[in-house]
Amino acid sequence: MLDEIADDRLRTYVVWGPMLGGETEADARTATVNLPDRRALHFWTGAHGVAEAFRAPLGLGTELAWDTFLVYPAGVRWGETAPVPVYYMHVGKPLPAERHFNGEKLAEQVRDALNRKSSP
Amino acid sequence: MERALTSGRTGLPAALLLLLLAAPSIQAEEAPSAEGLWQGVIFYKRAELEVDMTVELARTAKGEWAGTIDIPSQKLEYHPLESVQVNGRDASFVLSRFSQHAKATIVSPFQGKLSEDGKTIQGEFIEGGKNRMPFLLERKGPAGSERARPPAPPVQALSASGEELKAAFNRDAGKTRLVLLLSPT
Repeated sequence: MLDEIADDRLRTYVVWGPMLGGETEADARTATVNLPDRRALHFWTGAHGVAEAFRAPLGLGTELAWDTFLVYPAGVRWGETAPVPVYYMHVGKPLPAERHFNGEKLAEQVRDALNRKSSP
Repeated sequence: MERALTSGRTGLPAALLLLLLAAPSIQAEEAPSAEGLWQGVIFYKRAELEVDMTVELARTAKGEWAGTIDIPSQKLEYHPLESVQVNGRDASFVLSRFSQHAKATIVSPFQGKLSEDGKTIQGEFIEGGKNRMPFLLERKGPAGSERARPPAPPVQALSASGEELKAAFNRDAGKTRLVLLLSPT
């Protein structure tokens, strides 16, 4: 998906974590080859803090936000709490079915976000 | 008669000598070959968005040119090139690949020129036959050489709260950002 968006104004953060429970940092290092994009920063966390931080912006209740894809236009900042995305997709979450992950749709939304004017 | 034979034989070494003298100049004028393993980049935007690639060009047993390309960011490995042509120092080939986004096959020609010393091929990558971007390939070895794999991107360990992610997110506030929360397995 990322390779079809040739725009250096995009930054991607990939947070690899223990969604299933047994994942390791070594697994994350291996998985990075699936996202070799130069604009991507890869992180590993052995905890659920980040997945907890994003469940409120997604309205996930008690469900952790693993397997989610969140889009933010330029200008959005992370303050006291994680910001609400302008668009998101998910895999297997109690969220609308039309937001089930689809790479092409997500790419469209990323392009839309790139074309937006910066939020204040 | 003897003299004649001797005289006749003296011509052969002279001809050989001429050939030997000529050989270095023939070698010097010989065009460098495009055959080999090449590594380089397509410059979508120099220093900001450059796509790595590896290209291998070789002649088949029939003497025809053929080649393959690796573009890791597009998950292309040993992807066959089409219409590989080498005429003197001009080298061209075509990358055809199916785009999920466009739901169509994108045909992108490369048109390059081999440097005089045969160490580089520079030219234009014409994505989809429309957008022209420069590319540069450097010779890495003969065709069939082992292909170097790009190093895996670094992985930064986060603290439990993910403060480092927050800092990066805010540092890049001028950009559009995509946050992916994934399992690596």
